Amino acid sequence: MTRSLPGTPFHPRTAPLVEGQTWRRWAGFVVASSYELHHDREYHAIRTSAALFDVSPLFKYHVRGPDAVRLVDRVVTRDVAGARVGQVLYTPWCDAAGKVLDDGTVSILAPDFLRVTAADPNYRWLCENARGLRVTVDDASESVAALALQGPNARTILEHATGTDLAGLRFFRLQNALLRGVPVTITRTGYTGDLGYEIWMDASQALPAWDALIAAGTPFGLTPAGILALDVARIEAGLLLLDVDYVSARKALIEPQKSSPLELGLEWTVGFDKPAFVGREALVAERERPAEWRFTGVEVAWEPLEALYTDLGLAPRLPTTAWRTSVPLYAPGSEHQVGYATSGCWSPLLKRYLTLAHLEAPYAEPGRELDMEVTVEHRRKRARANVCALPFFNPGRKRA
Amino acid sequence: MNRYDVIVIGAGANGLAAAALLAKRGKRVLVLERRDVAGGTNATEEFHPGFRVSAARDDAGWVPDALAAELHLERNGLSWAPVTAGLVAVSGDAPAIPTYPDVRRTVEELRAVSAPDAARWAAFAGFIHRAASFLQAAYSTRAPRVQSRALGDLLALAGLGRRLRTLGKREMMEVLRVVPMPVADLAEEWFSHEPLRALLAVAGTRDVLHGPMSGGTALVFLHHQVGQAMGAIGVRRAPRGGTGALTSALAIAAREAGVEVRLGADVSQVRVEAAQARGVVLATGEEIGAAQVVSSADPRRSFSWVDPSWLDPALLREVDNVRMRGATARVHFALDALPRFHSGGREIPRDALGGTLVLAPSIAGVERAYDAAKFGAVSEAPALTITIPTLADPSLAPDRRHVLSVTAQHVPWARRGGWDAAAADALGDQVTRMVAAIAPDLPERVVQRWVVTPADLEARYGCAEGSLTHGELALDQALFMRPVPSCSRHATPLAGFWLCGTGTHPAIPGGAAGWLAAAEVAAAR
Amino acid sequence: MTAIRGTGGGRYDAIVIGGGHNGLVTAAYLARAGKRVVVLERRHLVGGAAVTEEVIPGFRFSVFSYVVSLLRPEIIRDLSLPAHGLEILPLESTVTPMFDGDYLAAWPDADQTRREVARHSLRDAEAYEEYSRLMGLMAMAVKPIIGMIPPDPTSLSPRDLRGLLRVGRHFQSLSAKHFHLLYKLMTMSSADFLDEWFETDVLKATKSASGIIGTFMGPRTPGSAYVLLHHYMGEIDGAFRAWGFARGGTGAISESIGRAARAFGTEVRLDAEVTKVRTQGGKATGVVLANGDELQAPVVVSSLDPKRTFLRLVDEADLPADFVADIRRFRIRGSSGKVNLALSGLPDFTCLPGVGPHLRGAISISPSLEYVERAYDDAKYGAFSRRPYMDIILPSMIDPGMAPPGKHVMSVFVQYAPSTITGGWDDSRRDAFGNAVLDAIAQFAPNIRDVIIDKQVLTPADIERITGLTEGNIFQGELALHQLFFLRPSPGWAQYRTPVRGLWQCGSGTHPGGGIMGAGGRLAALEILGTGA
Repeated sequence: MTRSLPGTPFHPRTAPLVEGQTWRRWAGFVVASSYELHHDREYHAIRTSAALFDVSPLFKYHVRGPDAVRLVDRVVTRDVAGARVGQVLYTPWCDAAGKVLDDGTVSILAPDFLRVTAADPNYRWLCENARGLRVTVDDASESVAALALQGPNARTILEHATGTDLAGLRFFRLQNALLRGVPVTITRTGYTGDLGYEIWMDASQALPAWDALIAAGTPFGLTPAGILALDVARIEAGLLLLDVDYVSARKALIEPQKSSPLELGLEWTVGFDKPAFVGREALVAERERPAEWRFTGVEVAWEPLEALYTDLGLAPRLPTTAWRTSVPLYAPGSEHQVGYATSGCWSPLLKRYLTLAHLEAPYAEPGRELDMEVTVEHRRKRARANVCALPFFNPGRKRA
Repeated sequence: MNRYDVIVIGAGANGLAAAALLAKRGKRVLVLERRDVAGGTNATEEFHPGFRVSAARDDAGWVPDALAAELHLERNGLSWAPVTAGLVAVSGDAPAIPTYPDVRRTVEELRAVSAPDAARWAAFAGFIHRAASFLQAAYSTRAPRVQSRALGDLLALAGLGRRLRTLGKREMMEVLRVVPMPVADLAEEWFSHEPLRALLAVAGTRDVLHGPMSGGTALVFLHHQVGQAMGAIGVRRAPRGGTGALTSALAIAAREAGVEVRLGADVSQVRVEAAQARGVVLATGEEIGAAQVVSSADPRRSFSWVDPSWLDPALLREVDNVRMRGATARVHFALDALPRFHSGGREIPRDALGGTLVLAPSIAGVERAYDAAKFGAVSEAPALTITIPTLADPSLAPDRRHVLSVTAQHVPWARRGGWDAAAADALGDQVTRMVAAIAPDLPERVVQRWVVTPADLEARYGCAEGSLTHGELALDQALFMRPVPSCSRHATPLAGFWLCGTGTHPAIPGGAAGWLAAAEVAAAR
Repeated sequence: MTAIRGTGGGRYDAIVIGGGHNGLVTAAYLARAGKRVVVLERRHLVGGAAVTEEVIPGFRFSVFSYVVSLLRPEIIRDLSLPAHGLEILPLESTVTPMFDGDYLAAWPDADQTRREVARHSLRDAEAYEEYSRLMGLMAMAVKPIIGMIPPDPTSLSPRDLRGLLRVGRHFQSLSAKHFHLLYKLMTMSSADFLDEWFETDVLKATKSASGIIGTFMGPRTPGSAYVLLHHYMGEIDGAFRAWGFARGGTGAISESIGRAARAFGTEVRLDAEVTKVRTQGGKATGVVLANGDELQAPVVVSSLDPKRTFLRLVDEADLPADFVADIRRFRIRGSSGKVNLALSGLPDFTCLPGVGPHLRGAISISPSLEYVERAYDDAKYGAFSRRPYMDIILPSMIDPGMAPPGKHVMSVFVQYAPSTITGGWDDSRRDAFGNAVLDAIAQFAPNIRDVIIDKQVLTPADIERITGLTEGNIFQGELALHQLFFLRPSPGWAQYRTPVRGLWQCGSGTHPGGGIMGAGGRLAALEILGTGA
């Protein structure tokens, strides 16, 4: 009997690469925090060449049957019924009170076959919503392996690896292909806000697929990358993370811990025109009220922060990795706390100190000035910060 | 424009009561009944030429005085048959121990078997009556909301609190202590004579898949005492003409108030538009619109008519979790003459025969019947209660002929292997054999036998899992928990859709749920 | 007859009858407040049902109570128990062997457990996480109730009304969903409650089995769900795991409380059996010992069970008839037995052969709901379970000092063994019971008989004989809904007082009931001090 947590299907390839044995948990698997001792190069690969992430720990569900679209349409906030085969939809989903349970993507693989990805287990929730529908839900979390190929060279690499022209594969569309003989589904999606693809395959084919991509990608600077690099990139891209930027309504211990899609800046994902989906009535009612909370970007102003350090004779100390703690935000010069940042990082590319934050709606206008709590040499200080629209980084190649 | 303001699904006591009361408040009401006869589980039907029987139950339950008065049920034909006795312990080897509505008479009977028990009967009857009166007060208003801060709810709670306080310190404590207890403990605390204890054990496990040693069965016992006169422990409330006479009177009152009752109208769907119930669709495809739809069916069936996309999956999970677990079977006999009844070699007196004969040797015997049932089997000796309705009400059979009805518990709906004709016959034979122990010539007297298994109850009356109470009565399925907390005041989370069956508060047969539901529906908007 | 006065010639302020954990806690709190206290223990060691004894030479056993989950953290802090030797080691897992050779495990890590449960049912694996979260919340919700002195709902005294208001406010502070869940936990059977959550039979069996420990209920008996909560009580403090094992056995807990009590000046007398509580004018004045000695004090606190206290030590004439009737009908049937085994080697479980982490946790013999329910059915009619539910641990795997090197001790808690066994317990029934236990273990660990060096079989009659617990009931009274809170042990006498002025009760027979919790002992002491003892 072994109690140890398993690696992903790519483990035989990734394990030898982890120089510092810096493993971490992700959804019951062990994955690399970074392959090299420092994640710097992995981060820059995302923005300058290409990075390869093992994203197999994502929860994946296969929904099949004549009512497959109806089921997913009923569960998620996006309009799935109105989408076409070949589309991929990013969407949150809610409980009946309109509070977000989870978020992920829906790939419409066929009229009667959808794949849903999720950060948390959602099998039970999908089954409970499937009542009266001709549909089966299978947990494909272990049987499907997934890689994210992200960065400016991603298309070139994938075209070489598959021998397929991907110019026609638009943002949030999918296409089937053979990756050196391995059947894969390619989705033009990712968690970096860059040009990128995610590649889905049967777990038994994981190793040949990895080898094919590495072989095709090495000449183009393809670098295996870990979660630390990804975390910086996703903050730059303004993409939120379950358990970090919001609490699932399923796990919230008290009401104020819950968030609606509207409060998470995901109003655009809510298909208010759909006749019914879980949480609709609550969200319709919420839309009628003035918003209470907003989720937005907050940038820490550089010069005043630097001054806090130079006053003590120090150079500014920057977080070397993204942080995931809650940091209070105040109305400028006041004790009135108006929100809190939940993720933050120094962007090596933008040279800006970026955070993602929940703010009381009146304080969430872009440009609005705030104070953020910072700890400088063991003392709590206030640093000036400004509300910014998300994403912080949005290259044209992402959608091109 | 709809022709109807309200559609009521189901023409049982609760459906008809709700319909009649709403019509009296000016609503245009349509009642839809799946079967070709009205009455629901109260229906009294012919099962052999000239022989009529209340197939599902022979106790009409508690008809609230206010309901009877408002709908003039007596004028509309409801009268009560003179039931001469309450529960009567019978067995093959000991003389019968009859109890009577009259306390003094019961005490006299008990003296023959146990002087200490005889001495305690009057006190017991008094305590039970006061405790049941407290329950009756709780059953006469909408389900309390313990958590609510609304003034009305707080006042209602305070009212119940005051009602409880009138019992006095010790007895108030005693009621609080007794309600969650096993009925076996209640019986053992009061009485020492085992057959007498067994009587209470049977009464406390009626229509639930629990044995007398299960906590909360004392509540079941008290529940069935609601509305009973002091001393009338387990006395059958039998309308003349069978329990169907109650629903007939309700139907007359309903029609008088302008209600339209359609029989043979099988609802297949509750129509919903924009998250609001708008009417129903029948199995024939016919659509009928109405602003309010009120279902007297059990909660599980009621919600099965609604497209799940309008309902919170968490609510449906809760509804699925309502324990139904029918555990009662009925066996009816048409007899060409009254057999001779003996208990322990002595003839059972005629007025005792008019009561409810209980064939259960001991608390442990009743418990063992439950043990078998919880694992999906019929025990070798289920507890039987036997009534001869024709003694008090000869109209139910041809002259000098009789009907004998047996309620067998615990007989599980979830029988391992399921129910089929052979299993029903085996049960019928078993019951016949057991009754023959006190009426040896019964087999010769039988001209017709009709076995109604829990599966038959479900098929015939549409009650899930054959649960006559549309959900087991238990502490966690009573008051504000019944059928699920969000529906405990008859409204459901789906606007315009209401529940009014026995599956809702106050869970007692006789129309009380319909009565309370009508007030809620009438007050809406 | 000599009236013995307190050491130093003065009278005692308080006499505590019984040196079990609750008696010692009461004594320690009273002494901490400056009172002169004596504890009178009938046996040669403190602990009551929480004792460690070398029953078999070289092998030390937590003879009766064997795990600790509920010891109130405020007691540990207030009495500085770690400074007096208390050390609680985690019991990390529960493994349930199944008939088909498989098993179900609950490991200390959530990811591990989710993967394990998912082997049996994916839905249940997800439900399990939500269930655990909610149960944690529910444990938090009942904590204030457990920690309060039960108000008398029939009383109009300002104090009781305040207490009732506190209970009311507390329930109002819960969300509707949580209130209803709590209500369900209080009223449902554990099997029904678990049916609402899970589909895997063995998962429900092992969870519900923990809900019946020490009770005379089966998994399908309404009221048994409440005990499920006990598993989550420890977790909410984060200070220790759900179940723990005291280094040196449960006796070490009693000893640490005893040392704390002595450090505060309490006198603890061993081999001092109390035979009578002396009263004068309806007021307690002291106690009489078996050897004829008398001790006097204005406060006498009994940690014994209510039946022993009121029907044996107190003269019935000093008590109201109603109260005596209440105590007589108080349900106290014993339902469990204990088998202690000295082993030459480790048991080899078919489902997980060899040595592994499972041997450092609990092994639950509860392969199916029906198995556990049928075990109960046997007991209802006065027999021990032919195939009993068992909770097994190997303390020597956690604390090697419990057995000689390389050898082991095994603690087998067995249910059901009814005190009300038909014909009464005797040597032959004890032997038969011991054999039934070994047979049941051998179904899952066939080598068990080969590794046994010696064994001790304890029936409820033995538990009563050794510890004095009436009917061998480990909770000093059944934990049924009608015997909890303001009804424990008797309506109107749930505030540690008794109808005899100056006589108090502090055992598990009072609110909040059993387990090595100490809450009753602490609340009683606070109540005594609050009225200026």
